[in-house]
Amino acid sequence: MGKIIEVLDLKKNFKTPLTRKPVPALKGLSFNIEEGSIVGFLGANGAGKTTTLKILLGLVKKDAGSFKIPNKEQIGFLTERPYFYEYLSGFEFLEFCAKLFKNVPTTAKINSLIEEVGLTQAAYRPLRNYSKGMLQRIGLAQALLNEPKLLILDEPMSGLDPDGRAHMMELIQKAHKNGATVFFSTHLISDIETFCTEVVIIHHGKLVIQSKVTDLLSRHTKGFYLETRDGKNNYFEKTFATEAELQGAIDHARNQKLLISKVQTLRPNLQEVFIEMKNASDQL
Amino acid sequence: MKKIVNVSKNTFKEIIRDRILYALIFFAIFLVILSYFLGQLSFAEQERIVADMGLMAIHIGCCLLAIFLGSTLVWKEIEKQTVLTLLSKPLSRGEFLIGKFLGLSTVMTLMNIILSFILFLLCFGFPFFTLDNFIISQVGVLMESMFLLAVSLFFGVFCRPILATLFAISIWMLGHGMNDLRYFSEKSKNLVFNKFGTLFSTYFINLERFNFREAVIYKDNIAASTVTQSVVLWVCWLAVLLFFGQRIFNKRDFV
Repeated sequence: MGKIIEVLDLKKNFKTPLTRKPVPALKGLSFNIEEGSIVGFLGANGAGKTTTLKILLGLVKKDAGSFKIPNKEQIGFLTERPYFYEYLSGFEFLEFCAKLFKNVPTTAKINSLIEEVGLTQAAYRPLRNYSKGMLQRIGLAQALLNEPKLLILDEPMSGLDPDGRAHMMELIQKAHKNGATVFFSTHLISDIETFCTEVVIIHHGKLVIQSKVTDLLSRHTKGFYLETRDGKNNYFEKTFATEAELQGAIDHARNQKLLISKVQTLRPNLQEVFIEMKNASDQL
Repeated sequence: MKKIVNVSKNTFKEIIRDRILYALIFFAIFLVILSYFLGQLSFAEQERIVADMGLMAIHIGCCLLAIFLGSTLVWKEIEKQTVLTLLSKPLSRGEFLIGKFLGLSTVMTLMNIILSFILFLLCFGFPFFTLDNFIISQVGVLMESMFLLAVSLFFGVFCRPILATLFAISIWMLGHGMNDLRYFSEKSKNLVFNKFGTLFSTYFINLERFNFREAVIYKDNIAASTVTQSVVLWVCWLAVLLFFGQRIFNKRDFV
């Protein structure tokens, strides 16, 4: 599998309205996204996630650096705040978006997408009457119209209730199964832990780390836990900082004829790792 | 081209479903009908007053529609972030801007046809009224309003709507004062005013070139060359405004 996104040393400064003083948003960001992956783009508010996505889509001009991305015929994009044309119905909106592609998706395709996102009943209602969750779903439908090779989503779960989040996740996973590479920004770490293969973490416009989620978590072990039991069903538990200490404790328990009931690697959750890395990056 | 037509169709739908349009149309219809009653108050030239007032109502209605809707057209898309969804698709910023321009132009043409038809019914049978002159006068109104639309769109891509509206209204007023400016600057003994006034009135657009309304009232002949010159001037100004509008729009960041 090749790389579908290659970002190299991307820089962007915004200017304050009156003094035109530059405010750096991206300070030489570099990362790559493999084709076929689901990658979470993680960072605190103001880290530069949305700016990066907008630069990739040509909505914001870069100051320096380079990037490679498929052409727009192969990209689907859902904005952070899905405000669409209020006076159009869901169907009209999708029809309008469909006609912007070279290979115009058929009416049957539009209808099947409407059905897939669960908006059949509301397809002919004006978008102004849609709830936040419904807008997110119609937004995802417009992003999937061209069966994109690359699906870019900006905070797709924000503001959704648990049901809405679950449904959204299901739809994104389905798009991934159908062959799309998914790259989505979020500040909700649980989303990444749940269904991402890889994570790109940025802070203050710079890359902190890019790694597989499992690798990242295993690299940040907090220690090891051992639980033993004697013949009278008395339980003993202890934690160890290193693998060698754990091994020694296991040997000792065996010598004492104790039963080993549980051995566990103590791993932090992604939130703890993120905060730890963010703080380390702040200290640099 | 297909994409431009698609964006213009959507813009047409957007404006047609907007209540502001109906408020403007009703205001213009009210003025056209009012012209009939104002004419009745006059001792003489009642018919000319009806036609003159009616033509003025259509002129003002179309120009105000162009300025007010034109200055908010792009800004609304940016403010509501709908532009992000569109421009992330294979649609260039130029196609987007021209599509918007054509969509609103279609609405203005439709509005002009409705208002002209009402005035035509009021003026039909007046001794001085000829259909040819009436149609040319309405083409002139449309050209002027489309020019003002291009002006407000041009300012709308980098200014807030209130500023874009003010700039467009200023250009509208200045454009109608070019003949007077030229006349007074040529007569002036002040060398600076004389040179500046002549230069400015030569190069700034003269909106009186699109004014064929008097020909309707006084049954004047409109020379084909006059109309041709106006059309050429109009095409050049539209091209310049849309070209530079698109250049500025291309450089814009949608933060």
